[in-house]
Amino acid sequence: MRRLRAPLTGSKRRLTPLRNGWKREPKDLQDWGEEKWAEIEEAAAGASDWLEEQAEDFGEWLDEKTSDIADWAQETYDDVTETVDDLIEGGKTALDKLGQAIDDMVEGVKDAFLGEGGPVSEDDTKRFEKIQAILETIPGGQDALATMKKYRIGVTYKAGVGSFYDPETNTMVLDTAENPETSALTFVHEINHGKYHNEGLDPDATTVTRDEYIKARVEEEAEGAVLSIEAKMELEGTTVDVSKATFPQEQEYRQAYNDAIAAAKAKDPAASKEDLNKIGRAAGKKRVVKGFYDGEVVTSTKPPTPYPEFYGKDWDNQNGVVTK
Amino acid sequence: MSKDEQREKIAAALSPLDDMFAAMVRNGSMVIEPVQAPYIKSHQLHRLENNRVSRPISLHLAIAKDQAGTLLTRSSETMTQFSEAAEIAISDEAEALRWAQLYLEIAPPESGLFRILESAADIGFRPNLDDVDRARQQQVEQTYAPRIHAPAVRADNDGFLVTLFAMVGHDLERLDVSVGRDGAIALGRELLSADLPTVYWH
Repeated sequence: MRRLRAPLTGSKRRLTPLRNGWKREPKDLQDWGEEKWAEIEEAAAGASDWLEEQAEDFGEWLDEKTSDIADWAQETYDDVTETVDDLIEGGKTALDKLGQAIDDMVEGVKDAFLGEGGPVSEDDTKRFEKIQAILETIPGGQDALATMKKYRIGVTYKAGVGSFYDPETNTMVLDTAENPETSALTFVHEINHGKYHNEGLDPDATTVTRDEYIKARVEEEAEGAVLSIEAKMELEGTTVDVSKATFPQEQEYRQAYNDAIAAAKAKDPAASKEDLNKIGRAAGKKRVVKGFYDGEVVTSTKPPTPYPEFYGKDWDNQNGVVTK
Repeated sequence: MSKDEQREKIAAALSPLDDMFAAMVRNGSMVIEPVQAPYIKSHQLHRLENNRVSRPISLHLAIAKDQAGTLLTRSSETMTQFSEAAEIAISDEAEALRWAQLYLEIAPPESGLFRILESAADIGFRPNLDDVDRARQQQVEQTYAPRIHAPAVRADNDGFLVTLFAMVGHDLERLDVSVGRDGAIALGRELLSADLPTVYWH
């Protein structure tokens, strides 16, 4: 930065005074005037140059300062941003740790109050070992076991009351009368009810229509039946003997499954095995649902009742509808 | 005794036998129905049904005068033990008939569907049968329509003999039930037609 200089300081261009006063001739006076005018013009030109120079210096100084300020502002912004990022990252880490701690605590509480799922006693564990070994050999069985663990569904055994899933206690009861192979397939069926309940897929009779309730319950029951049949079909490819395990509508499912695949193959010989299986499964399930609606399957109540009628009465009871 | 007191009495009798069933009684999911069986002198019998579980369950509870409970499921062994231990006095054919039917309802001869028939129309063939099964249905109905009748009873020696027709699983059977005056039951089974295309039971 250059210093400002005082105007005309040290200049040699001083006005020359009249030496002889006003006694000089007019010609001399004119000359003197012209001389002085020239001196004034020269001094004014010098002042103008100086001012221009100063303005230029100031402009450069201002540019320099503006640039310095901009640099400082950018640097400060970067520092602040970095600090905030650090804070956010730190907060995230802290929140992650807190979340993990809460998750661990919730799991601990669930373990303490709900159990870890699976057999609920030593006797149940012994009985269940054979079933678990069977289920682990097939994808459908592995899925069922995973569902049991995921939703902490308890498993226990009772004699003479059949197999069922109790949503109130999130427990499955398996009938001791069933052999391990049949029991494994029953497990696949009942665990589906547990899945529906834990995922909130089972309908609330007080918020849906009667027909919606019947449809949802029949679909759930049919899905369980299909899963058992498919698990049996998977086990037929293993060393497990499931020839004595029969399930309602198994033959109807197989017939519909095979017919649909044959038709799909005839239509598209290049269809993939996966696509054919999907087509077969859809046809099989459709047939099973039809069977439930048509009364091919009845409940274990007294008297035995077709499922749509049974679910309809259940809806009536829950909604205070009096039926004869 | 109020309904709540009755429910608690049954729950208390069940508790030592099965915690889960006792809880079902207490939370109201188990429907309780008294069974009229005056010939059972030592116990009161109750039918318990829970339709709130995935597959409806039905069982019976016998409560002795000292409030001790006996859980009666579909197990024939348990039912035999109960009928031997309980004080039962069958005085006439009507009681013998009711007791035989109740006995079989509680503990049928096989696991699976058990239905006592009144006529051949009760066999319960499935809808949607194919031609082969439909022909079988017609053949069975023609053959057994004249024979199948509602449960019948007659005096037999010192006891009674109840004859009835039933679907045991998918089999059509004739059952001859000997009923002693002390309630002892002896079952004779005759298979009439096996593996019929009747309704599935689940």
